[in-house]
Amino acid sequence: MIVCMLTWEYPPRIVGGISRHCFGLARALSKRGCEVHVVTLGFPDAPSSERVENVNVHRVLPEVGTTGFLSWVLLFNNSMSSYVTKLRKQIGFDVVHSHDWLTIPSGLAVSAILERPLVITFHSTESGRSLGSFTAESFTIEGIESSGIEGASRLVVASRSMMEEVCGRFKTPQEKVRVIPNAFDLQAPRPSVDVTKIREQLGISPSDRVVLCVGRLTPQKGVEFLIQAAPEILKQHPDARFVIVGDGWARASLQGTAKSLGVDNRTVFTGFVPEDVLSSLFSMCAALVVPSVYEPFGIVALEGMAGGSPLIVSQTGGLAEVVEHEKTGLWVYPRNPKSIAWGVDRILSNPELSKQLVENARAALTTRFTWDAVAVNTIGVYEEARKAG
Amino acid sequence: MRRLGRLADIADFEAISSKLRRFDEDVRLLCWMNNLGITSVERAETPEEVGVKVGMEPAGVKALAQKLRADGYLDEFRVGEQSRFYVTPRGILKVMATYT
Repeated sequence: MIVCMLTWEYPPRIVGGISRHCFGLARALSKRGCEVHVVTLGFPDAPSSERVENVNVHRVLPEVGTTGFLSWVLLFNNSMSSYVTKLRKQIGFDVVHSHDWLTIPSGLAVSAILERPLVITFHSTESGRSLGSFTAESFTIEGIESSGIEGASRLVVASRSMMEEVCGRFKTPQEKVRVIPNAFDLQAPRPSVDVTKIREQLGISPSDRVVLCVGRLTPQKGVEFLIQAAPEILKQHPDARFVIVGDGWARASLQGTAKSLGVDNRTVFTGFVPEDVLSSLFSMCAALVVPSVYEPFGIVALEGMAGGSPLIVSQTGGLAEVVEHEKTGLWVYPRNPKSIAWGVDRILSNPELSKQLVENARAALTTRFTWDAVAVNTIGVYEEARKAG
Repeated sequence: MRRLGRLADIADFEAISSKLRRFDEDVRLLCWMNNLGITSVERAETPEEVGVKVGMEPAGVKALAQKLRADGYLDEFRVGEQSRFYVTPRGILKVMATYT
């Protein structure tokens, strides 16, 4: 099976879960005998073409630019389509696989030109990301999502809640949608850095206990509710130090909230951090909070499980499917600072519980969330798509 | 903001119709520079060149570009007296996080 995978982010261009997902999936498909060609956006110092772990990576850049976001997206999709159209002279693709709306236009074009079925993985939807607050741009994005759903032979989502969202929002028949949960590669080398050094760099004293939160700083991720919970948590645990990793347009507002609540001296906003630092933060934290309001899957929960972080997650979307309450982590109510404070207190006050949750989570990771299982199921979807045409 | 042509009109439209309206002026400029493809030394541009495309005065572009440079989102080099700016890898990731 020769796969043409289209994605706007692929290492070293890593922003959210899509990059990590595509990287894991492409490698796993390759191990299962597929020839995988990833077509993605260029990135400074990354080669325009390379073969990494048997995956062929092609990086393209639009020849011309524009200020508009949507028009820029269409331009890079056009570059991707043109590139694949040239590639088809050397490679006989069997299936085209787009990830999210950002590569749906090129997916539809390439599928039509190559006369090959299109599979789309929806990592989230515009409706979910915008939490119902649509801009003019959102309507266009949702239109692109809709055209992809119409044109694809099969759709893949990472959780049942996401399947319900896609089927409900777009009136899509369930027969067209397949649920394949994300995965985490426990065997992959996990570079880390000295914890003492990280504490020094971030200004965290050795006695402080780190309450970690990792994600894009947008309302969808619910970081404001963790910050609102901070005063209550600090009453019980004055040694708690909140470390917020990630960036996004809501950062200034979140920093303002921390200041107005008087917890800015106990909160560190790190921005993006290198993978080795992130890996160390997962292993050194006393609790990892995933306070999302909307989360189709929540791959950060898997990363926390792998890194040995005791997990506290919102009981929402895919998170509630990934984490089992009181077994592999704790559920808290979404948008509820009191509930988050309860969860953090429970973890920080109960080292035995914390240890047990981490052990159970790691066991779940080795049985439920493997890349090989994702690859096998995805190949099954490709075969269905080829039959469906 | 002075209207200076079609790209500048798109920038104006974006400022009121899209997610970009939520952002500070410096982040908006960063996004526009990314979308214009000013993402490598070879594609670096002067504040005057950027200003024409986004409908801003060069002095305004330069002030914002220097703030973005201090944050590590842009880099600058000089050719004679002229400064040229381009978006760094860190800036590209910032743009992507901004849009998603």
